[in-house]
Amino acid sequence: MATVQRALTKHTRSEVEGLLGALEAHADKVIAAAKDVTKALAEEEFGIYARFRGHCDDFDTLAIVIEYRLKNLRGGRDKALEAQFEELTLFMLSATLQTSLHFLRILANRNELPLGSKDIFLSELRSLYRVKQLLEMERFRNKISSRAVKDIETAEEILGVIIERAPSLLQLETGGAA
Amino acid sequence: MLSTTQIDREKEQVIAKVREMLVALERGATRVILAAQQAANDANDDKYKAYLAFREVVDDFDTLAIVIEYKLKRVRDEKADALAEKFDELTAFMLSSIVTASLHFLRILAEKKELPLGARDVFKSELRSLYHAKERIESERYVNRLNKRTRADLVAAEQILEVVIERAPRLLRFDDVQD
Repeated sequence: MATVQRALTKHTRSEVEGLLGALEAHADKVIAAAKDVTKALAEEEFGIYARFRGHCDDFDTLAIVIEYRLKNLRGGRDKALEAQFEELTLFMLSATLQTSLHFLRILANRNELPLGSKDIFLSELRSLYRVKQLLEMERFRNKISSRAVKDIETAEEILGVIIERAPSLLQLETGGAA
Repeated sequence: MLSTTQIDREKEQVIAKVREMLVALERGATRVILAAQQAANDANDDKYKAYLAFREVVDDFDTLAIVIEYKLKRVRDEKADALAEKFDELTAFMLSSIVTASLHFLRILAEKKELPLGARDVFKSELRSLYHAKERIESERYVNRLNKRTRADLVAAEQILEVVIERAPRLLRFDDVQD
């Protein structure tokens, strides 16, 4: 890929500030969509979940873009912008962890998962595992709130319970191994 | 309270299940490799339906891997250690394969001046996949298992992420971001 050799443009502080503003707007969309999904799950409406995941993915993609642009800032690193970015990332990870816990609690209470909800259940299981892993990384470990620490412990318990006691909910194709 | 014999029996049962699941996980890895090849062939021709099937088998692999990891946590003895070793080897292999596949997809798509609607979603999805697989594989757990090819892929991944992100958000077209 010839373009790899090209020198990278240095980005201005105001450019990155603009992206951080957009990231904040995406965080609001994720939170609003999570509320809609909670209502919808209670009424066994599962179509709206894809929109929520879409907002989460948009946040994630934009966060990756910002992380790389912060590395290539004109005039060198900007600690204030990096701190703002980290705060927002941490907020979103904690909010996603709470949301996954909430969705899994709603779904795990059922004996059988209705059609359409199994994919949500599996998707939230992966999300919970991934977010928990990220929050436990050195980068965040010492910065998370006491609420998030408790949520991580709950996540560990819930993952254990789901995996041990609800294999029928998972119905994985393992030749009957789950 | 469970007797020692009962505990041993339960442990044996979990180990037997994990062994069976590891075979399923190996099958899952093969499915991922095949689906990645199919999706890459299709992406060359601007077709992206096979990509969804690829992502689905990756998700299945991930879910089963989480289940195995938690089952392994419950049993700690020599037999389980050998299985845990095999499990880590398989997940490291899968992460390396995902990095290679994502690099391949991104190379195909980054050459295009404009991304059609379906391709843009694939592009964003692969950007996230590459970033997260790279992040995981560089963690302490896997870093000593990386072969030369994967190390070279990780260097390429960092360069490609930089270039791709340089062209974003224009290429990614975030609706609410000015570039």
